[in-house]
Amino acid sequence: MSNKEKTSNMDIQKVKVNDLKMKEQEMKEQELKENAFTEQVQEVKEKESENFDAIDKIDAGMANLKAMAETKNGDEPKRKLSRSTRDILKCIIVLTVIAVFAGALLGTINYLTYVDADAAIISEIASHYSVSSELVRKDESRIISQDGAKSYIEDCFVVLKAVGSVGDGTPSIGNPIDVDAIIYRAVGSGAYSGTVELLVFVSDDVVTDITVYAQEETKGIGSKALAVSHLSQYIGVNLSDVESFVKSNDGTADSDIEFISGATKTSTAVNNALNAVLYAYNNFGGAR
Amino acid sequence: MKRSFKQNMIKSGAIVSNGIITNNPVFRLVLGTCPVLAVTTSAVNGLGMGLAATFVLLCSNMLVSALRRVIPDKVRIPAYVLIIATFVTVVQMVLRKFIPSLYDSLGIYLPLIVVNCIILARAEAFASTNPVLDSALDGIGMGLGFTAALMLIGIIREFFGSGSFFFGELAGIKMGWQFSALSDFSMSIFILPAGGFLVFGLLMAAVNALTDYAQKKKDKATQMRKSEIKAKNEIKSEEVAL
Amino acid sequence: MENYLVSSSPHITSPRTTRNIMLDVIIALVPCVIASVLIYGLYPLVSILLCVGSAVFAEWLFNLIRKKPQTVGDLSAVVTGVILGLNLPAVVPLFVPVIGAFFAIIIVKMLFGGIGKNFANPAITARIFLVLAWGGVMTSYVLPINLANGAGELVKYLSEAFNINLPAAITSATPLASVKAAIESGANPANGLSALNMFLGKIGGSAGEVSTLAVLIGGVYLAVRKVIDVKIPIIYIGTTAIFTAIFFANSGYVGEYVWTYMLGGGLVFGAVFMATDYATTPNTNLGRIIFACGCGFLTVIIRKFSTMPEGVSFAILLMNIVSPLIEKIIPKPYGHPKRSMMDYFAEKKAQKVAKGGSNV
Repeated sequence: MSNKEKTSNMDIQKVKVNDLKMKEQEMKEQELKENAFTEQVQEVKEKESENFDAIDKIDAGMANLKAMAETKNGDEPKRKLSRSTRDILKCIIVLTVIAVFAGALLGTINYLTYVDADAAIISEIASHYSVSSELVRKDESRIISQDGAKSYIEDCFVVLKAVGSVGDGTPSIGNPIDVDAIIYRAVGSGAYSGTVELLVFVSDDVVTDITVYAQEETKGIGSKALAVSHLSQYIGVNLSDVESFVKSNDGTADSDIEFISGATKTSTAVNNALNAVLYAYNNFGGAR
Repeated sequence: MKRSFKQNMIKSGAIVSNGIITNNPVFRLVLGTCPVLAVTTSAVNGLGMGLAATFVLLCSNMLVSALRRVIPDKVRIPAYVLIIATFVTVVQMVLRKFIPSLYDSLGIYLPLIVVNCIILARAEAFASTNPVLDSALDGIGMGLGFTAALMLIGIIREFFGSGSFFFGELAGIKMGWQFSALSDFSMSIFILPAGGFLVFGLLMAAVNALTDYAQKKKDKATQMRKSEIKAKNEIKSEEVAL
Repeated sequence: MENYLVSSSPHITSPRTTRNIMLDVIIALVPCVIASVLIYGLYPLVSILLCVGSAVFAEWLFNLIRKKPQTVGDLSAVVTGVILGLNLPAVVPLFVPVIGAFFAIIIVKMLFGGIGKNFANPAITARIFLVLAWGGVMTSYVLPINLANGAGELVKYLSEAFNINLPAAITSATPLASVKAAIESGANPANGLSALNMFLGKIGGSAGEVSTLAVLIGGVYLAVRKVIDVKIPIIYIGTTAIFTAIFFANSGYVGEYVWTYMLGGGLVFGAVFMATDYATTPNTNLGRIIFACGCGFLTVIIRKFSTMPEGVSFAILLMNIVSPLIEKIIPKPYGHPKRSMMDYFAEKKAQKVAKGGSNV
């Protein structure tokens, strides 16, 4: 490679370098411009976010001017709202608006999702007897409990005889002959945790079935006293023959109930619930 | 400057995965422990509670974010609580109507979502300073993380405590299996609060161990890569020197 | 530097090693094991051996997996196993001791760093775990056997090895369960109970706790060998008696409640073998006294007011958990002047006056 060629090469390189430098310069300028632009955008945005404050200020200024004009007119000066009062007012308004919307939303949804509290239990009873749920009625008059008793009847339903099966037209709750079965929701106190709620199915004075409606007993210990094997002691008992169910290990009389050892508390609660049913059933005026 | 579509996707993914893994509300942030321990006696309960909380989280995050310029700073907490309580009540009413079994088993913990720390914390820490879409993604991520944790605890407690797997009914669909052979041997402690704490603690230990392990692996990998690059550079410089 | 062992003072060399102490405890537990065999037959022996085997295996396995030096040789896993076995009802399905021992060793002891670092007594925690896990199994106690009927009685219960629901014919209520019933009904708690039978252990109950006599023999051995601090069991049992007398003062059967509470359940066993665990009880003298008093108080509270007839294990566990707090109550170091409460208040008052406070 000759010397001349070398220099020319170097020249070319220099030119190239210059080109590069120029380009860099241009890019830098471009960047600067962009930066300036974004800054401007940022400023505009910030201003936008300050709009509320600005509006406040303008409002305040207008109010000021108005007040000054009024004083010039010779009227008494009106007290303008101070800044803190305005803040508080704004808080109140925002909260109120949110609350009103929330209330409206909840009202609508509540209307759309209204549930009859008794519907579930009525359909359960209807499916238990395999009758239509129209024949199952709530019967407040049979909810009878001893005053101040901790175990009581929470709810009572009756199953009416089907239309046509009774002599004179449609069956009614008031007429005991029309009633096919009575279902008590009995709450028994004295359980290990809280209370035990049982559904007791009674027809023709006899307990035909018992199911557990709600309970919180310990699995494996207390739950033994809620098993079918334990509850079946009560099934088949004629309620009009029994004074009260009592704990007994002989198990000869109908009223003798053998408690489950280790689950005494749950057994007691079940027994209390059944005694509440007994009381309600035997104290219903004119039923039998 | 507007983010490109790809950048958007990456950021969205990061927000969602932040809630599920990196900042899992139950195992990493230890927020909302009360419902975690109380309702996870079965996997179905955990799933139901998780989804309810996710719905509330999503809605409240979006609304709080949309109103972030309107709500004055002084009353932001009452406003958030008002918004959250509204959505919780909506969930409650809908569940009572359509999934009464879940409504009964969640009990008091459903209305208590109102004071669940996760929801208030996300409203305060994320939604009140971020745009609506990001807040919604954050709500979904956090909600799914919460749901996953609840389900995991629920599956373990249910299997050992009741001898079943995902057994129950959700929205009228019967699911899961009950292993009758296990029912005699099931340990009721796992259904009790004590078992909840036990499973929670052991799972948290496991999650921490796993993340530590993953972190170590990652560190090692980066170190390896660094040393590789260094080695390459050295080779290059050697070549140059040659 | 790496070859030097750095530890804080005091530096005392002692011939007593962990292994040494644990061996003493095992010897002290032998009378209880013998008593349980005489009372319930060979079944408790099987479950105790199973407990010991599982406990040792669990510790060995944990160390193996975590690549730690083996600590099985210090015999503490054996002690945990024996105590857990004696704490179980005489007849339990055989998977219960295995799971209990694994829980005690792995979750309560090893996960917290092994012997000396566990915050609660492994055997007690495992027992509570089992009570909460299989309540039915852990509260059905069998009747004592009658050796007068021949040696065949020894193998009487072995056929129930996998029976999770013991037939009602062979189960019996514990004395404390009948005391519990008496609390509710207001009857005499000592009805149908014999103090001699309870002292010897001819009652239904956990395998090793029933015989107060056997426990006391072991306790005396431990006290003579200076393995345990006698203060704890004596104060524990004493406070239980005092609080029983206080809480049942209105019942009309104070004496009966006191002696049934002394002899029934696991009070003596718990006081001698479980409340004296080194790792989980306070180290200071004052701390130990507070610890023992707390145990006694909680035992009576749980026995009287909770739904459970027995409360020793829960009381000891709760006090185990607060022991680190109790240890913070340190008496004034030697050489500091003693100050009474009155001095303290006088000083405060003086300071206030000096500050110019006018509210005196």
